[in-house]
Amino acid sequence: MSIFEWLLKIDRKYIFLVIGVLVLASFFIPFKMVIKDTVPVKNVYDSIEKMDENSCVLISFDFDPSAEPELLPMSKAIIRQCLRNKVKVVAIALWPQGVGLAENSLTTVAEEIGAKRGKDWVNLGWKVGMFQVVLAIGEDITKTFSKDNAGTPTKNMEIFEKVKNYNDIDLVITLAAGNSPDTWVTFAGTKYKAKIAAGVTAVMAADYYPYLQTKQMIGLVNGLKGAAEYETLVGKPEKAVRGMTPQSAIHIAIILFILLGNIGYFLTKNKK
Amino acid sequence: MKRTGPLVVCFIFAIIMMVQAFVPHPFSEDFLQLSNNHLMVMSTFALAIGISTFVHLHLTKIRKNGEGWYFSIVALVGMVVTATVGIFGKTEAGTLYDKIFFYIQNPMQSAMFSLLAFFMASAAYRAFRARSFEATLLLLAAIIVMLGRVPIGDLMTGGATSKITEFLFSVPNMAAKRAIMLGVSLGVIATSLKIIFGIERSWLGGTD
Repeated sequence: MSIFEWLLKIDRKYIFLVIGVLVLASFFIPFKMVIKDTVPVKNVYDSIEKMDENSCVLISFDFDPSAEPELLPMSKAIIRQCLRNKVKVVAIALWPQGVGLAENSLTTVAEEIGAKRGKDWVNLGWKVGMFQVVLAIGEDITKTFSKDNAGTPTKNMEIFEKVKNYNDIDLVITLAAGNSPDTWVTFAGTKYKAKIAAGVTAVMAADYYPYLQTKQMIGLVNGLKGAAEYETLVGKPEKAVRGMTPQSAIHIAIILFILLGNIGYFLTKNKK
Repeated sequence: MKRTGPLVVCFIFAIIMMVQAFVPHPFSEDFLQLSNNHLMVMSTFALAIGISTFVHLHLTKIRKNGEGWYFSIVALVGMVVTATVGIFGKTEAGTLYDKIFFYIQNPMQSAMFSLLAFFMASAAYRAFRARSFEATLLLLAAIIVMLGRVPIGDLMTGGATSKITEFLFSVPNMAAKRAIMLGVSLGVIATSLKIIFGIERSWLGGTD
């Protein structure tokens, strides 16, 4: 087998090995990346920055641990910005596993900032149904979630003194690994005129650009790069920014493999 | 009657809900809330069906000594333990339930998904060949987007790749997505009308 034929048929175990080595190596070799923000991410950041104290942001954790590397850093950066600006955070989950992830993000950031559960933030947990839950919040959020994740009744919570439904929620952010942004836009956005933004995995982002153009979504945080942009904007670079080095290395490796495959393809084709 | 009853209920409720969407009267809003509550109760039954199917499937596998039956024991024990801890204990941060989620389920699910990176690299190497004009276009777009979604791409091209990526997302991609969304929506409307008027009856079971 000639070298060109080999280029055409590189065994996948070598590809796996290169990817594995690059991921590991890039964690140990410090490489500072300049992360520039994009318009859809900046729009989400700016809309929270412009909010008055005691405004309210509803964050829906519509993902599970498979999307955690992309969406959890995003959630922490958004929650950090809200709590730092004294914007109240109400978290819910349309996916059952989202409850634990929300609890982790909220307690970590709240501890760091000194925000109080029930006053500055609350994790309402998961409720069965997708659009049914979104519609029910439009009527009364404390009736939809009568207790929070810690089992405390929501009716007399300080955070809900002035928050009843979408009329009192300044922004809804769905952090999604599935099609829940469609549900939020269709039911909360269209029916109740709620302002919607989304944070999604990189593979899903392309699906939501039509909503950006029509302004049915005010912004979009796109994958790990979007999370890194958000962390940079908030001024606390963490996991997403660190993840940019391995992601860069892997993307370059994939591009090189594609180029090698094509070189092999053209040279063997000409030979034939 | 067995088939006519559900068809009549489906027709009546579909018409009522369609009208409800255009009537902002408090009575109409209350009706929406009521039907929504009923839907949430019904969704809970789906959960019950899911659990019973899960238990039945794994118990059958264990009973028949099927391939990997011991994994079924792990699955059942995992479900029973997690559910028991969640139902009888608390679920907030720092509790046993939270620890089970964070130290067992979370790493397992993340690890499974992370394998995708390896398979995607291998699949991209094999699939992206410039065999035709269209394939070349796809290949170029993929390379630009891959570079545009990492900071090193901007470093190499002076910021050009992220701008081209944003253009690809917001213009050609958006146009195609919108066309697909419109097509799908029209299809959903057509199918819904067929169900409402009893033309499409496969949801009742059977073939007619």
